[in-house]
Amino acid sequence: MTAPPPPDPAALERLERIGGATLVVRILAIYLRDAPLRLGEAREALVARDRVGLAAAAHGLISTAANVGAMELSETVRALERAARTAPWEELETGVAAMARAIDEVTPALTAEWQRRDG
Amino acid sequence: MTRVAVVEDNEDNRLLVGAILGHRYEVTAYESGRDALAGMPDARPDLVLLDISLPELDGPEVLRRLRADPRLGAVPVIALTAHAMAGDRERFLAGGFDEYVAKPIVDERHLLEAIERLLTPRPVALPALP
Repeated sequence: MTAPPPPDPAALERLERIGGATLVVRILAIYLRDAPLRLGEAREALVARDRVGLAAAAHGLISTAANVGAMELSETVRALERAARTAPWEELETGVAAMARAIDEVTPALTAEWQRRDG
Repeated sequence: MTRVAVVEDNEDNRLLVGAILGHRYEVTAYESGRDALAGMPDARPDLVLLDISLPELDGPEVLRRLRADPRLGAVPVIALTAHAMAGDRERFLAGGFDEYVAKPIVDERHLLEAIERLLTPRPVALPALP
């Protein structure tokens, strides 16, 4: 089994260069707040068969994930947003599962970063 | 100081754009198209960064209303979008935007260059001397 892809450290270094430690901590905190919210909205949209709601939940995380270096998650939700308009629901269920997996893979490292910098 | 308005519903993108531009421009951020249309007439920006996928009033609709307002109609507007599909740039320029920047903003120089291009006065073609 291969290790999950880590968040790209260059993304946080870039945030630090642009806005210092304060910007890094604030943007990490927004990711940690929003990722579970958007996943919850995506799951609710699946249950309700709500394509617009699913696309909006996925769209909301594209930049947020990329801003903290979670590039695989960003690409996963970008693909999910595109698929949400027309793809069969079974495929969208797989897409939301991939979103959940990608969040699980990067969130521990991003939580540790946030704790380290905010502490 | 040159004023830039940022219309963006994602809080982290508002923060990021504010940090990128804050040293160079006076930045006013709006969370929604409705807030922007209400606030801009009294704080007329020199340039607007407008997210395409806003809830309620989306970017193209906000642009249409800006263009119809005699006080704001001539302000250059840059589309910000996370769609980044083939043909996006041409579609947004044809739709009346002055420039297009894809999100996530992975290289802030693209954003800064697009803003500078639009804020720099273009040379006016003078009629040839007789």
